[in-house]
Amino acid sequence: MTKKRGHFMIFLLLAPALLITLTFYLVPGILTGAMSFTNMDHRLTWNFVGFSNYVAMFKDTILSRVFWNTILYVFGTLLLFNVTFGLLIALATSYIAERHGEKPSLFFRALWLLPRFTPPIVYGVIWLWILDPTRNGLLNGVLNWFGQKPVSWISEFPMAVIVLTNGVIGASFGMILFYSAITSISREYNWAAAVDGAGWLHRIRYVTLPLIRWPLLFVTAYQTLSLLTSYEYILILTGGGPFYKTTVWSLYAYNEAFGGYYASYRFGYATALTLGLVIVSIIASVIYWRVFRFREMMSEPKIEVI
Amino acid sequence: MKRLPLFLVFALALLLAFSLGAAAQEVITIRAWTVGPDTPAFHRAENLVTAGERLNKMLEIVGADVRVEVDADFWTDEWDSFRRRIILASEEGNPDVVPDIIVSSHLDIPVWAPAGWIVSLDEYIDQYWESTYQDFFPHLWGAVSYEGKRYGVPQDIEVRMVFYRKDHLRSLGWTEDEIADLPRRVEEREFLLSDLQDLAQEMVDAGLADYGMVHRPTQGPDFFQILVAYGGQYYDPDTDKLVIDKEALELTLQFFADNVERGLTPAGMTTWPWPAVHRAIAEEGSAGMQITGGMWFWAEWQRDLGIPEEDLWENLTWSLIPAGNEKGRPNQLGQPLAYMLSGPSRNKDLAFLLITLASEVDLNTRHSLEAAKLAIRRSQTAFPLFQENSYLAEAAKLTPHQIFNATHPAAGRYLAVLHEAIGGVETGAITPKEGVELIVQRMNQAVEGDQLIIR
Repeated sequence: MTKKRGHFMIFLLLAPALLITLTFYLVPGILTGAMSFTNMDHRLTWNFVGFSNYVAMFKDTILSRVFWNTILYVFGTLLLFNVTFGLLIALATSYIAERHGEKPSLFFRALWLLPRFTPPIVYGVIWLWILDPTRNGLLNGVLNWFGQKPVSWISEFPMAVIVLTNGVIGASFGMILFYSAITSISREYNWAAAVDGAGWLHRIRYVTLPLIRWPLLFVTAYQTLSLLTSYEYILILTGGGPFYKTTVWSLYAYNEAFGGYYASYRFGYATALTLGLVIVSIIASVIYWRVFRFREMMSEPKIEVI
Repeated sequence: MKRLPLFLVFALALLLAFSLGAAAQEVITIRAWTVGPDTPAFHRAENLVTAGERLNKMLEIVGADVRVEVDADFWTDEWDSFRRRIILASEEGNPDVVPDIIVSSHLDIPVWAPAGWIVSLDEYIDQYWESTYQDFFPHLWGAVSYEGKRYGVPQDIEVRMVFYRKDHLRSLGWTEDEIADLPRRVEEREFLLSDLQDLAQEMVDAGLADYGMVHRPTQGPDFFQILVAYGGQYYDPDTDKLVIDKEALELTLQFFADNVERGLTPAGMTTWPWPAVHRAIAEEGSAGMQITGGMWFWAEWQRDLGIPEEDLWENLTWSLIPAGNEKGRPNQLGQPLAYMLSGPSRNKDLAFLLITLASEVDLNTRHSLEAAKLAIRRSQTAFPLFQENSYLAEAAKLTPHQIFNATHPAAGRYLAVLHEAIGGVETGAITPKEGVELIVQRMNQAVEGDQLIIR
């Protein structure tokens, strides 16, 4: 009786989450999967065409370009900004907190959070002004002072632009997690290391970094998956151009479905592309799970530390 | 407090109901979605609202118990978001969501009509033929027809042109007479695309402009003008099929590749934001010429950039797109916008009456003047306000060389892939030959093989 009741309680507690997952993830997922076997266009007719969308993916000469863009964008943003730069801000602000108190540190962290609070369109428009190819842009205005000709920043450094603009936002996620992890490290470790003669750099290398290993791995894994599916800032800034130089996989799928002056409405092909992305994400998740030993992180600690 | 006797409450309620009933008017709401995206074109929505006011006045005079309320919305974001909104609403098909009237490009008709999202207007147009529609320029009806039926009422038409900085021409030693003669030389093939390139080169070499020739950064039907200038064909009206004219396409792509190679056009032209293009040509003169410009820019430059019209006359002149070779011809493309009736609308008769009233000569003319668009009715050209506007009169001289887009469901796809290939050759990612192959491949992906003529 009690066991049955217990099962019922578990079901009851899980029901809201289950319902949401079913309605907003599983059902659309299945529909998307089914749609990828049709040649559905704007008329939304389910005309099944077998594997032809998947065959078309292999014939699509643009797709290899898009694939390498995606790799460059995801790992470029991840390694340069979301992890490394996020860590640097966290270290710097925790150092400021330690030396000068919490308030100045809070100020700098809040500053780095600003891009994340800014609505994407506003953020995009600000960057468009900074990078404007004429003298009216911020950067070209500065060049103009020195008598230089304006530079078409977006077309000359397309990948750098999208990595930078996404990275400035992405860094704050790592910053928050790393900062709280760093400040929760018990001070005795640092004191002990300082007594043994370790300098600031050595304390980071031998005390801080090993102790924030899990947040580091988590941010890496989580941000890989979120970058794989993110395209909104690229869409606003470059639209994927010039000529696919900044088109990542998810944006390519979006453009095939809805993009352009005349939306393509190639829902069948677009959904096949997104399904490809789902498979890549699953593979990435499994690799991270295995390599980073997430099971270990999730399990209860074997020894109680402090 | 003492309660009111029940019968008194009843009597009061009855009285109230009667007095309300006597004044009750049926109010029918007609909803319209219209688009700029150029902000000066706001009369696309406003004219419908005014039409509603006029209709209400007539109803009041004749003592009818019905009034119309017009809820018209004007879209100034980009074309693709406007279309996406219509597509998503139309797919749902809910008459409470889908507007009764849509104002959009005539190019949407071959896509939306077969889907059943808009209805044929033949029967409605005939109802008002004598009073209104016989006055429309006849060639416009062809542009709003699909498979022999009219699905739109033309709302406006424009010409697209090449803009030149007159101040730079003067600096290069051109006399006022020579500048004034340029449009004629273009029209009579004395001045070709290669001369346009050379002129741009002179402007850059003389340090007058950073770029000699800019073009619209976004997708648009304008690029077919260059194809026609090189003698190409993009549509075969006899078979109703799109044409992939490989030779002319390669010449077109070569033209854009050469412009970048010679430093006339920035390699990333397709990533420029629109305002940067407008400022470069109209405000700063950092661009010497703009191909694929449109006559409505004139209104945008005044309204959005605040440039006085005298300055525009002082600094800018325009012409057709010059011919590229002996096979080609100078031309310009027009893209009529049209009123359409949505399939799910519950009030089609009333909505069409509003369209008819919004097409009155004075209302269409105020749109023409504000948005810098051409007349669509014969009577407009005799309307004093229209005649006084010298810009419209001058721009209208390009009309005889007008070409239209193909009325084909995949015409939009075609202009998108052409733009894609132009971006590719400009950035040096592909050669013009590879660009042509890309166009063939992309069109084959989207269009049934027998719907294309590749040659």
